[in-house]
Amino acid sequence: MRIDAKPEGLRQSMAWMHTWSGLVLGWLLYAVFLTGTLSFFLDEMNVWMKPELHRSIPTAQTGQQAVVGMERLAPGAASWTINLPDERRNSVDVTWRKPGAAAGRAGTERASLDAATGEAIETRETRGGNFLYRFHFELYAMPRIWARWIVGVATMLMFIAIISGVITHKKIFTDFFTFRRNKGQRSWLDAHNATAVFALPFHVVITFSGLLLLMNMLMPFGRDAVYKGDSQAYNAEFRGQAMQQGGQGNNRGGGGGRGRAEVEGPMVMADVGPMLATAAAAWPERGPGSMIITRPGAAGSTIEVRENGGLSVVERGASRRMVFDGQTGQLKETPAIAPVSGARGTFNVMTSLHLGRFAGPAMRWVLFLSGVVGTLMVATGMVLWVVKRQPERRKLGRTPVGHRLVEVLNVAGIAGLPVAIAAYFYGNRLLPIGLVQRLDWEIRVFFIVWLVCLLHAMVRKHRAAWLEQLGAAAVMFLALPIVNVATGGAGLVESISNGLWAIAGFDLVAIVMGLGFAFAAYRTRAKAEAPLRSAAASASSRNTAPCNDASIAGEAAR
Amino acid sequence: MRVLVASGGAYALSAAAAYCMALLLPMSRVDAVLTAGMLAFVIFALAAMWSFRCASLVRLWVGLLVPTLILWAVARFIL
Repeated sequence: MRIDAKPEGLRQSMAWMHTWSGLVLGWLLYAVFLTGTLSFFLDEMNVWMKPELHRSIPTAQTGQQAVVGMERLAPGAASWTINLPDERRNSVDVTWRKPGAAAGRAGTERASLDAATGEAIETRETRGGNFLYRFHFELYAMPRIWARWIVGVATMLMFIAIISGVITHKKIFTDFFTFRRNKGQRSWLDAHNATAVFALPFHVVITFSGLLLLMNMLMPFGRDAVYKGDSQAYNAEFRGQAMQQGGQGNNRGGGGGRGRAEVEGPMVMADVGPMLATAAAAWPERGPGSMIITRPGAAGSTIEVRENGGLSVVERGASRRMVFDGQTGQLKETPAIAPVSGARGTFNVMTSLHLGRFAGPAMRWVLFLSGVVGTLMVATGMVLWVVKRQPERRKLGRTPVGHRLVEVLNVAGIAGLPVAIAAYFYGNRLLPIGLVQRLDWEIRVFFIVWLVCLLHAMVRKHRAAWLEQLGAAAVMFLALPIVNVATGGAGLVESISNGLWAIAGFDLVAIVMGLGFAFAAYRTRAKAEAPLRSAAASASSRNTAPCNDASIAGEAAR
Repeated sequence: MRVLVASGGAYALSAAAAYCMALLLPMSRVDAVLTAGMLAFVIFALAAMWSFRCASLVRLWVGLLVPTLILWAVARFIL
């Protein structure tokens, strides 16, 4: 921005905007990116954080065992929803509704069953990965709607920042192949550019689709105009169509709200084994993912088998379905997936990509790694801001308060947040099981540790703060697999030999992240003699290391 | 100053555009609303970037305000 009102070039004005919108929002976006990236492995985190489930090993008879277990657990329920184990979950997660139960979530009861025996497993009180998932768009401890607005506005500005970043950067593809190591500011810029360009399609799509997911809140004007403020009619029309497509993913099985119409004599249910076999033969790619059994054990019972996540992104991961008669086991119908209009198809593609709803293991890793790269893009951008102002500081002979503030927040944000996330996992394992408000204490551990990181960054010298917090993150992540074994979870040897890749993957990624942080700390330390260049060089290696390592682990883990 | 005008003005413009498009687009109403909403975010980004490009504040005000008002008026009184 020029005060003298002379016209300035497009690129300069874009650069100015890019720098300042990036700085103001950087820390928030970093937190959103990091917790959001981890949320691609939401199921895996949930399993890891309930070590009681780690001994549950799926067998070929899991479907039948689950039904037997439900007959013991919830006889006389109006409906059962049974989510079968898959490569991301090793237990059977069930929900059921009693006749006449309250509508929606309140009337739904849930439990986890052992995949081999069908017995219900008592798990610890934890919010699991859902805390991080919710944090990435609703933050914490403030009204949900405010937080969504804050994140929504930040996302809108990020969308501008990305596009302006592309314009600023005229030699975008040439520079992508240039990485100047150990060149201070230049290295940081290269790292920022490389991470940005490398995953540019991901950045554009994830930001735009994030906006679409919040569209009803951020941009309700079209809806209000057409529906005259009757947002319920819009939601019904929107969802009505979605329901015809077969619901949204297998975790949200309908659960049929109706109570039992008439009480009839008990009925022997047909064996679900052959039904699952039929479904598995019809859907060789993903296989059956869940069963919804209405009026179990009574006349007129139906068993609906759903595919484990759909194949088409356009249909929002709509699952194919087969409905069987509960008594005879005969296939009654295979409801077709409704065709999708162009607009809804576009919307579905975008939002499904964001939610990773369709993603098989390989795609999930691509999304995760893109998220890691995105996180590094934000981090390198913020460090670049500090490094770029080093000459100015030297000329002044002192550190302006604003620069120091950015430094402190950079350390506490970039290095402190991973420390706090690791602490959250420790809290999950180390807090006593019977603790009152245990669930809240896990979250308190997270925030207390994050606050400690902030205070630490304030009192320590800049480089020492980086070094110590990176070191803490390294040690904490490296030790997580050990804590896992020591506190009743399935250790790496056990989880791999039983094929429980969700648990093994968590441990392996923790090790890789620990190594990444350790390397970063090592570089920070090794470069300490050359003060000006060290921060830049060390952290640039830090910021490229974890993604390289993670990709190797990604291949190893799957 | 410009930041405020840019973000507020671009948002107002995109909101008016969403309003107008949702009523105008020749498709089923759910689809029209969705399409309008998706395009609105694109318009927002383009308008915000143009705001930083625009040479004078006066032109910026006019450039954002006039189309916003036209779109709004069309949607409000004509459609």
